[in-house]
Amino acid sequence: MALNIAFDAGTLLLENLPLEKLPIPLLRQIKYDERVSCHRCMAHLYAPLVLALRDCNAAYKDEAKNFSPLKLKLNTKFLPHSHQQEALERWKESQCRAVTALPTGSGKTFLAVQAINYLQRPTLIVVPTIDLLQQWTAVLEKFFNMQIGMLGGGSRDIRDITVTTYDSAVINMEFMGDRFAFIVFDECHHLPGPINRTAASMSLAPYRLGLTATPELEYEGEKILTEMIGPLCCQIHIDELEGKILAPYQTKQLKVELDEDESIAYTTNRQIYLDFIKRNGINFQRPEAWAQFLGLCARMRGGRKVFNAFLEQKRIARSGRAKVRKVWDLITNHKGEQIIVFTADNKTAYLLGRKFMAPVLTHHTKVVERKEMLDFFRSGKYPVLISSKVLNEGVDVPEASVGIIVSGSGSIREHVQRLGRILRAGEGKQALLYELISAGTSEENVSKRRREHRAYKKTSFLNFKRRR
Amino acid sequence: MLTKDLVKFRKQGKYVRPIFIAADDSSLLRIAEDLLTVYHGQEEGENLTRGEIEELVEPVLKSHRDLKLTKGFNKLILDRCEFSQAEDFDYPTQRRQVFLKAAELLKQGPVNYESYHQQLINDPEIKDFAAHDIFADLPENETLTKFKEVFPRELLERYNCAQVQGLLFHASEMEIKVASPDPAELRRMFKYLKFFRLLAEIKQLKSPAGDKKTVVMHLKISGPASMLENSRKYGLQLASFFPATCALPKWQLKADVKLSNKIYRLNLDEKTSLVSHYRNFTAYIPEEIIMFHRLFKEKIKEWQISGETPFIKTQKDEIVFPDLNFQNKDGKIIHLELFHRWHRGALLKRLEFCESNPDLPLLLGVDRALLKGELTQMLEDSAYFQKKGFLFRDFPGVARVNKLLNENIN
Repeated sequence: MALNIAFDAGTLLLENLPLEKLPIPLLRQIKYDERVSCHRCMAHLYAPLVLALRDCNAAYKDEAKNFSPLKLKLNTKFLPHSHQQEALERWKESQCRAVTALPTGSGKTFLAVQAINYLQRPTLIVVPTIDLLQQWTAVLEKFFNMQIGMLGGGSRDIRDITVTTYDSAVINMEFMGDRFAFIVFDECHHLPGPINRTAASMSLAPYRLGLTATPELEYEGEKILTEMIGPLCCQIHIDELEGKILAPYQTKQLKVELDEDESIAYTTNRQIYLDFIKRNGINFQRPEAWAQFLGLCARMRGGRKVFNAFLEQKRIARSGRAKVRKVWDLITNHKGEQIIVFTADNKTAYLLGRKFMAPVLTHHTKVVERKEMLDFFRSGKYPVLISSKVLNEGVDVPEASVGIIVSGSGSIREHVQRLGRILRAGEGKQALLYELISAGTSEENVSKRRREHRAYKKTSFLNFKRRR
Repeated sequence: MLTKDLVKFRKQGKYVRPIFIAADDSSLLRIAEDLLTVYHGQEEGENLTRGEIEELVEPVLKSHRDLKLTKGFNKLILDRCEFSQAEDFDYPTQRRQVFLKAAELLKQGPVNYESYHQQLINDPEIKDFAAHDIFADLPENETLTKFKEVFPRELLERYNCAQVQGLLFHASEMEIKVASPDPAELRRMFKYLKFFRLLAEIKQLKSPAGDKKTVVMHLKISGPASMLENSRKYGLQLASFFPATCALPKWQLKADVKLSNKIYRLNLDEKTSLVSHYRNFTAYIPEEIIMFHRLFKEKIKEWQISGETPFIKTQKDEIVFPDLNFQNKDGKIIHLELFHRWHRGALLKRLEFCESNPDLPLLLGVDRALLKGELTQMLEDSAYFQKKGFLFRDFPGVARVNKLLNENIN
């Protein structure tokens, strides 16, 4: 009897499997399922399985895929830049299963559009945020002149080309993993997490493209990306495109002295916190240290006081009064430019929003208002937009030329992505990223950690002159 | 359910044990009552905001030395609440006016902050709004509109159950041994299994000596992909299913739970005295089935519909649990099993089983979304399906089911 392949809740059911004909690495990933009396494997193995069956001339009946070719027409006069063309070729050479690493603003979306047009197959684009869901949908509608499906952020409209969030993809892939031949993972460094990766493993899409500006992952993460999408086929760095595809840029670190009373409060509270972690042997090099700290604060007498001291010293370093004044100075000094202000937390973002009566975009902002805020910022009606983490990744705000990092984590990825927000090239545009650091606080170390990236080590800006 | 930080457990060697509370502990019952009093404010028309609730519950939470425990109570209560928007007021429109005015001033060039602020709060078009918090519609200002009643004792019982659920959230499969003399109880458990889209390897074990009425079963439960990926994807489904297990008079549970990258064994049984809150399945029946129930009762008089169906055991140790049960005035009973788009595998097996058992009093309803490739042909070729099956979209048609019932009465 011929092998029958069927899609079942994010997996493939394989009846009458010719075990002896399959290569061992593939066989290792297929198991016999007593519950349904046949073999089963994850859906992402569809392409390698079909290729292996073809190689050994084994007959099979494909009941798994539930898609047919499309007739797409690309509605644009733009031609891809040479780096996009190169990335597309490398991806094709990798059997249309690969990751490409291109800097923010270098046209990753257009690369994906070229790939969709090349394949002419139903496509699912997976993105990390609702803002990106809307942005991709609008762009694809423009390029393909057709209605694009949206899954996530309150929408449930699945079409031949659909954009979804990682969260929605994880929930729905077991029901729709057979419907798309091509799957694009935007900001694919989000994929390796234990939950997110099921968005890839439960889809049978034989063609895959991973897009990221920051591919740096630990070994395990890289392994998962290779397994679920494909190898890194092309990497281009920010400095390679600076001044050509990307705007020339400069980064400036500004140390801000705390006000005297806040400085005293910072030192006092910091000491309470440091004494506590020293007394209890908490080592923040260890992964479980944070849970240990929280647990001790909850259980020990006086633990609450220590926890409050920890929060207070952090608050002062992140959003002390001197920093707020500095943000105001920078905003007023950059009259006529579009400015994004980044904070580490919502509280600081709203503090600045209330103080300056400026728009704040966080995950609390409702869909309609966030769209309007972005539109007004892009059109120049709002010169300033404040955000905690929503604007860290992917969102296209080409008009922004000044970024002010009021506070952030030690993550290199976050820091590079924030720089990426202001790098989209424009006529005569020169980008400037400020990083505000409360002098003499733990922020100095945090800043040092996050600047460990090639994009922050360039020296070319020494002769750079700002446009005024 | 409880979030990870609120689950209380003890690790002992390779075992993990949830820390249960005594559901009749008077001091804990008092804390539960105090917390519930705050939320009952909504019934008395107080329209409390999230922020106000947080302030009011804080002293209650801190009145017990175990903050994790009291926060756990509060989380379970919050899960039963619905909050509305801050006020019936168009904040986004008002904010837009403020932001546009502010933008105009900023575009005019370097300004002193004080004068900038004064100009804005004195602008006649926005001064009323700008004088207050322009972000007053943030979640902390949402008001409590609905609160699903729970009694203090019930809350404590749910808390214990939630401790187990909090651990199962980190499991990829679990094994249970259940026993009951009442087939309806087991049927209810299997309905939950199906509802949460879990699969099981089922073995019927020997009944206890001298008690042939009691059915004993062993189930190894997981999701379709659990055997392939050690994924936590089904953790939520396993946790949601658990109360259906502890609703049975006799049960044992075994699961491997991954905590901080280590595997711990969780062993529990009915001696824990856990009380399930899954007493009535109807609360979990999908909307379309409830609608079918209602329409059927309204339109069809010769058949009575019920959700209570016994199970049918197949030769492969697999058990069929029909979704609905119909009985006519003569006592004739016919069952109906529905297959939705995620039941392809189950439908294939059922067709095979029904073909070899043509006299089964079982109708098959198949979602049109399943009509793909070979399955379409198989349904067309199946003598059983042609006689006792039908297709539906969204939910079964009452007239179609009634016609099939009458056709298959003999």
